[in-house]
Amino acid sequence: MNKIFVNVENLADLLSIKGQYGKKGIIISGGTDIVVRMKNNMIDPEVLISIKKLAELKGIVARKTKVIIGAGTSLDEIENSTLIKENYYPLYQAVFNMASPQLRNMGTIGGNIGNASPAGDTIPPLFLMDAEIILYSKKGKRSISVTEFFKGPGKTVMRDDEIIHSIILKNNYLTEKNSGYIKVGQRNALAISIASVAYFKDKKYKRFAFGSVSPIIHLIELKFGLSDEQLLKEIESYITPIDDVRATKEYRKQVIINLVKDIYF
Amino acid sequence: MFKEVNKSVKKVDGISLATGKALFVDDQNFEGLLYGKFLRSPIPHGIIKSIDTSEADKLPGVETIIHYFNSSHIPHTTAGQGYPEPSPYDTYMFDKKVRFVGDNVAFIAATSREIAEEAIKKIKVEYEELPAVLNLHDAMKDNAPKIHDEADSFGIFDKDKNLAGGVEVNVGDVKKGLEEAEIRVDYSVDTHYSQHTPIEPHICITYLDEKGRLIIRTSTQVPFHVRRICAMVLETPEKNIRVIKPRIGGAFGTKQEVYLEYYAGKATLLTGKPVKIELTREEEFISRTRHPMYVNVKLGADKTGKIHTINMDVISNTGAYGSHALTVMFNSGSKCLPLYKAENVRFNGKTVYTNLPVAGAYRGYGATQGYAALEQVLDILAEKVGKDPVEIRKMNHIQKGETSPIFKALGEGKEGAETFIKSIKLDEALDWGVEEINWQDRIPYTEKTGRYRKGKGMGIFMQGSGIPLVDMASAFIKINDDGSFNLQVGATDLGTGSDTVLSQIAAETLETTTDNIIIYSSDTDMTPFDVGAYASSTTYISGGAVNNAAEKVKKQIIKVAAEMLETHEDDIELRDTKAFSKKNNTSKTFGDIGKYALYINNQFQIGAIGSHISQVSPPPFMAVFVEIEVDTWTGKIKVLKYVCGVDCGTAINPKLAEGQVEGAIVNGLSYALTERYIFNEKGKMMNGSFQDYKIFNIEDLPELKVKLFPSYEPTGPYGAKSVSEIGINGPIPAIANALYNAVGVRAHKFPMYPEFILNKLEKNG
Repeated sequence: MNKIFVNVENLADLLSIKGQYGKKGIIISGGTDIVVRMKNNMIDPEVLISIKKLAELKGIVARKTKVIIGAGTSLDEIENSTLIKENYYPLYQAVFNMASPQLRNMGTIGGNIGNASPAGDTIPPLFLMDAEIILYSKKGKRSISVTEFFKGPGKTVMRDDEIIHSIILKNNYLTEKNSGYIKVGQRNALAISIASVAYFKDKKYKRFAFGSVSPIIHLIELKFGLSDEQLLKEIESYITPIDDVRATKEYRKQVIINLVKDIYF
Repeated sequence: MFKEVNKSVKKVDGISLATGKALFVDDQNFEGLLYGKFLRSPIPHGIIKSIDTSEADKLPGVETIIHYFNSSHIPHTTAGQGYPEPSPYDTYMFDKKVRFVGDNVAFIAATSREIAEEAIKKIKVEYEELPAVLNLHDAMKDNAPKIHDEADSFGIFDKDKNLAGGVEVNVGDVKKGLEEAEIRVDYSVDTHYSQHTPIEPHICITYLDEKGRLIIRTSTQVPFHVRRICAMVLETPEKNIRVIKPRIGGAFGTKQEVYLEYYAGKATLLTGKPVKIELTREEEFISRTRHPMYVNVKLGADKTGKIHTINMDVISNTGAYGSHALTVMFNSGSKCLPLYKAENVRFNGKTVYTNLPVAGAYRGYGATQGYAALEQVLDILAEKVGKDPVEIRKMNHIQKGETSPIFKALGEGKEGAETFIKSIKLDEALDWGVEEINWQDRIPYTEKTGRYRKGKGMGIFMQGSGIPLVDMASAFIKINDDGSFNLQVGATDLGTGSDTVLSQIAAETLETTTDNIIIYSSDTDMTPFDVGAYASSTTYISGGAVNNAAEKVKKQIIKVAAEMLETHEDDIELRDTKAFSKKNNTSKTFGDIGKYALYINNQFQIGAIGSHISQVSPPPFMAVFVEIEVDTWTGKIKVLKYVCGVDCGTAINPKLAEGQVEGAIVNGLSYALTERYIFNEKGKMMNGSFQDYKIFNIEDLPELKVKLFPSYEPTGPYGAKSVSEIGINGPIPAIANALYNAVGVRAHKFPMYPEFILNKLEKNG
């Protein structure tokens, strides 16, 4: 019942403590997922390591053609960043439609990624950006492509001693005109995605990433000129939706098909 | 003209609520408080063979465990209705049978919530599982399992057929009417489970006072019914029980149920200690719900669209127990059918038991379900005869001075009261709505294309104002030294504002100001009787009682004033908290009069008690118009604009009345579009949290326009009727009609959530 709560203030301490507790130590920032899961007895961590005060993990920085977002950056900060809105529009749209203002103030992008839910709204846009997830541990740093990072619902390639440090976004040409993120939820706010589509349209090809319709999200590149049937076949090969309390698999599939058709044709 | 009523005076409890000073049930601390928790059935239907509490008993902090084998078995109903209740006595504190996933198996009181939860896990129960009924349409089948086969329950319509209630009324000849009709419409809907989701869940704290009486502090709509039902179940006279209702965080019908208080009370009687029970949100969802219903309407009309025959068949699902089983079903007929004039009317209602969560009273009380079918049928009729939906309603709805035989035929589980319509401003509300929504721009769905398609729909509605010849309310008023008044009422303010409304009525009659009235409500020791807050009754019935008491007090004031001013009573006029002698041009303040009567000469307490019952239940009326947009790619319905005109008679407090309507609309929009219960194969609700059971929030709201169309109801206090329930009836049929206008699809199942709509659209190609 009693837990250890550690408030870390620098990266070295964080890595050392995370190294020490490993799986038993859960990193908490805004707590918008962790606290709910603890309340529902879904997890019972022995040690909570708070990175709330760790300034090093916060902020959005532009580096030439890339942008680096600290894992502890709040969703609200991302929503209000002109840099993101003008160059990475699908991410802006995803965050804009997430949860509620209160939760966006607390929740972080690192938390949304680390949670590794197929319904995590920030994740599909990252596929369009060939994003890299930067992981740190006492042993050093490594960079994992977003396409390699997720291994299933709640599962990632992260080791028990690692933390998410930052996310690097590439392809800084995703604008309101050529890209977007469409989310279907049970209502307009505070709703977990039933199905979602992040997309980018170019002269040569179109890229998609679907949320909530497969255990692992894929980047899908479709050439121009596919027939209705070919398109359907392509989409179907990437989605394996499930039934849950929010929707049936048939509905998820139908919605993805309808939305992709709308974007593709 | 009115001085205090028909004015949006400040809510009398507004400041204390806004500043957090007002006390709710949980805001009082008790030394040595025990926490109560239920062990709930994991199976939908079965016999309890044995309960072994030996491991749980050993846990330090566990004070008492109550279950079937150590308690008495008094059949009763949890429906907090007047005595004798029209609901069957089919419920026990604990029975040897469980009837739905979540049924109470044992109750634990322990020194902490954690210990109580730990103890629950340690109780071993052996069940013999029985086949279950998990669909209302299966309940009456010949081979259906019998859900209530216990010997000593009573008031059940037909135990062998799983029928909790049944009724059939006939006016004219419906069979012939339908056969001979030039135009016939036959349409059915299945309405769904939903929950009231008050922000404050059910909660009560029980304790013994210094004389050993049981005090029940509870979040209830019906303090006097709580006292009576607890007295019965706990086998003690009412004199040993006092029920106190503090501030309440919403109810909407679910707190017209008495199902926590006697468990806590029993534990307090056994241990001598205070006991608290507070339901979790998950428990709240499986405690009381709205009755899901199958409703079929067959309508016969002539070629002009004039209705001659209406037949309504209803099968209502009350779940495992028959709380409000009969009366909610009755109201599907009695609150819908009188709206339209017809020579031939038949209502045939059945309420079935299933092994699903228990239904109960919920805002709208059966009318909401009935209108889900009836108001779509009117649109279908309009289309068939080529008339505008507004016109078809105008030519058929009940008018001032008219009555419907249904008023008399269908009451509250028995015959009702003949009612002539004395106030109605429905056509005015319709004309306004037509303008507000630009009704004339409406085009048929066949002319619409593209991904997003807009549609407009409408409907008209009525409800009642209290239960005639049954509901009784009373009020006590006395004067103080300074000319202020104490007003004590049994009426129950649930956040509805009734304390304010009743104070305004007292002030109006007594010729003083609302802030000169000190109201205290809902305490069975301190306030006179009132049936409680339900059936849209408080303003109309309790308001009548307050008016009666105030009239009596007014007479006493006049008598004393005449003595003081040395004149006749006829010469006295009360105005602005003063008594005037017209002849002498002299006056005395109410303070002078109060002091005189209490201290100076011929001393007595100026004060009186007033009671009220009503011979009729005058309906409020409502016209609703809605514009929606359907996303044909996802099936999502977005409500763009919702227009609602309501005739509630005189609005005693217009702002509070509008608030009631707006609240009911949002409540109804959620019910129509997002709220749904998802059951597994055992009838267990799988989405019992706000994460997966979606009620509307601010981002979902359309542009909302509510306007009151005041009529004057001569039987109500200062012309008032009711307003609290009617608003919830609009969203389902108005949106369903708009959906048809947008995409040509009729909704017969609810909610109209995206998946359902998309499937319908796919089927239509």
